[in-house]
Amino acid sequence: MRAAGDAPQRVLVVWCPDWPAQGTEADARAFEPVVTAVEGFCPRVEVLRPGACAFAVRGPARYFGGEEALAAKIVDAVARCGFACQAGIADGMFAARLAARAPRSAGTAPLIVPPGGTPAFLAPHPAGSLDIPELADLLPRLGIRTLGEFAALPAADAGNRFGAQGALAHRLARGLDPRPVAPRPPPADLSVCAEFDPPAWQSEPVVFAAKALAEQMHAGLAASGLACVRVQVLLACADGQEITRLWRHDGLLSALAVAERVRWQLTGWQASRGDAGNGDGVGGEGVQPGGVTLLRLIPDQLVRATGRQLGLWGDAVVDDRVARAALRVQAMLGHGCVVRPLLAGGRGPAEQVTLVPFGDTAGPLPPADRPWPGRLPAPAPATVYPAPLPAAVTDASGAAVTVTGRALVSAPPARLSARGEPWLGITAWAGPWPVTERWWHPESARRQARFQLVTEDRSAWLAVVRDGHWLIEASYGLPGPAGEERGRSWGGITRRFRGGNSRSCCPGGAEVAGTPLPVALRPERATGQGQGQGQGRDRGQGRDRGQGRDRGRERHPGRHVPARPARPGPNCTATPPTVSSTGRQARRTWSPRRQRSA
Amino acid sequence: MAGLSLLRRDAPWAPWAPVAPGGAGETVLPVLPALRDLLPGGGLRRGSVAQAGPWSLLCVALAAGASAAGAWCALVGLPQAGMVAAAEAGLNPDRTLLVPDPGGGWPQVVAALLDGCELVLLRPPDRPSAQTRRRLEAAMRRSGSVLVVAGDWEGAQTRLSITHQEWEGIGPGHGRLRARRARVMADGRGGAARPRTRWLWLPGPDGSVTIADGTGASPAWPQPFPAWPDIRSTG
Repeated sequence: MRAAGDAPQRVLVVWCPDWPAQGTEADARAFEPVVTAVEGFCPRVEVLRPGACAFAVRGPARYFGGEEALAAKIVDAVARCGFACQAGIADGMFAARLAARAPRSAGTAPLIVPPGGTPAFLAPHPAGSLDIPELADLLPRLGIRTLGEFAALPAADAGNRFGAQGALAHRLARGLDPRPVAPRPPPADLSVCAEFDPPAWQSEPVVFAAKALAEQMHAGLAASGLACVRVQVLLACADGQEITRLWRHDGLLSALAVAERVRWQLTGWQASRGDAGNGDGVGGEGVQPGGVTLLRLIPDQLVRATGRQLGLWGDAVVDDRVARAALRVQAMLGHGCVVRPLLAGGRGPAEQVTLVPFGDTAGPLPPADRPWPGRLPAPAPATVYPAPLPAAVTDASGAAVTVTGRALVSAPPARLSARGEPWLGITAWAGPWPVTERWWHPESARRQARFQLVTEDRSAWLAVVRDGHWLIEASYGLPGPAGEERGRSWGGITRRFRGGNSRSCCPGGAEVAGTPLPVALRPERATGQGQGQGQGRDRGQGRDRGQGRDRGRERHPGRHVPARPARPGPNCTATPPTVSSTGRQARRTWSPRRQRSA
Repeated sequence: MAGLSLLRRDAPWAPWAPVAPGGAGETVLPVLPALRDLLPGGGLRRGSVAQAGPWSLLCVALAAGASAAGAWCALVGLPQAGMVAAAEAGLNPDRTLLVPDPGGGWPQVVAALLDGCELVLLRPPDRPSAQTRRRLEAAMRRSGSVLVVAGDWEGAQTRLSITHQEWEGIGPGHGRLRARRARVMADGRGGAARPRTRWLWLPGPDGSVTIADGTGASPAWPQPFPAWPDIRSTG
């Protein structure tokens, strides 16, 4: 290492002009390919900040045939990573940075300040380029506009007048360096590997070797005070195939546990081969088709080993047994295929659940304890379709039901068909409950109106009107016509419990004859409109219907359903609409007197 | 004192707490009180299969009691399971694993999960062969876990199904879905051969599963007249 007073070493700075000045962690990660490209020329690279890195150029320049050739090669290599960059070489870090950032007249040719020419190169630069705000303001007011003028001051006077910072700035302006380059140390290779000659045909020797290898890897990590977040297991076969997989480690796995993961990886690979082939592979337990020639364990994402302290209580600590089972399934299906549900805040049933792959930690979730106006009230639907089912809802006359901008329905919904299935009569419905979300954010803004619908097969649905289209978001009761299992499983139930009854029955209408029907299947409409419309489809339940109708009269004596019962009902108590023009309009028409029906 | 109350609240999960009802020593996994009468032995016998018809809240209600007692549950092949409803019924989401799409190798997935979780709720993607069933039943007996099947499973020790259901609280254009009165019928093999039926709130007004009387009486809402929101003129 040189003394501070010596002439500074030659430094090359690579500067990417397009990089944001204030680097975040993501920027730092994005810069990593550039650093790797530069490290191809010199292993000891110092990252100044995301977007700029430097190294001492003397050795590499002699190897690559001169400073100019080296700089040109580096610019090319970084350009191959997809980034534009400028390179500058000068005596000392400060001058090299200015050289790298100096505006170019043509192309991206590197700017090389000859040895000893640094003071002359610096002299015309303004005093502001020192990056010391106090001096950048003060020096011009004292009549010192360039670095050359500042360097011309006696060093002792500069130190007296401007303090330690001034003395440092004066050294910089004279082309001296306050500190040498501090490169990051080259990472030690902590991976371990074992070769098998002859190839291992059984998985046992591989797993056995994996245990010893894992112990060796852990010893290496412990010696450098490191822990790995994940461990990569690489298996190479005699037929040239390679399988790699990353396993979560977190410094918690024992050597035995690592060996177990190797076994899972082998079994999973074997199973996938068996599936791909004719299935013969499944028969021979533990036999590797190609024979394993190499096993390598590579620690990934090294962090300082600080130990891990679990919360005393309050954390849902995952049982070892459960973690093993979950990891095993992840080995078979993939990391994202085993998830844990986290309940969060939201309005719709799907928004309130976030699925996080097992072993991962969730990002910030919308808090559940906020009011969420317009949230669906309890009870929540038991079935939430991963993708909403397209549906059609018509009124008694067969016209599609629409919802106006003021949250009024065009007509009472009378029939529902989900995903093109046969039409079902709607016996009860509630809504619309308008929800206007994130209107301030054009991409995620959403306006919709929710309905609860009960169809004649006694399924209850959560439907939503979005952009004029009806969608079934969820269902409360048994899966109805849109459920995948309608024919198969429902048939099973009706068969089993109807016994020898030959009366055909609608699915879900599995009630045994004579069962009391507490609520009308189809209450009378006072307007008389749509009698028999959409209900004429005889599904062989005439007896039930008659019974239901009588009961309906009994339970709702003289109830008058207005010709246009489209006003948002009192159900809005539970789900008042969010603040929107829609909501304001709708609220005027609510009437608390229609609170209870029965 | 804050520490004490915290301790008391968390006592069921604390390691020094008395063995949870779902502990390994017991021969049955606990179920919700509402379902106790339906099952022989008052719970799900370890190493047995319970069939609960197609996917519905009944399946998750069967699992909820064990989950609330500290058991781990896995839901396999049920991407459509509404976790909010499940949590309202009593399933602890912190102790739940989901494998929405187990793929063609689902028997292996279920076998691996049976090793780790006390209860696996499964909707088989296809009809399981007799060999598959035997293998999984052996895995269950070995680990002492319970398989609840949302679908058909020949030879299930317990079969539950909803024979009748009625939604309450909603009318044409008014009200909202408040609760479902469902008649649940249980039968099975051995001690469970005698069919038993119960009327349940499945779910009740707050999403929980409780016993309903079969008289068809109007349910006792927690708030007969829910608080009416302040109606303000906002211009």
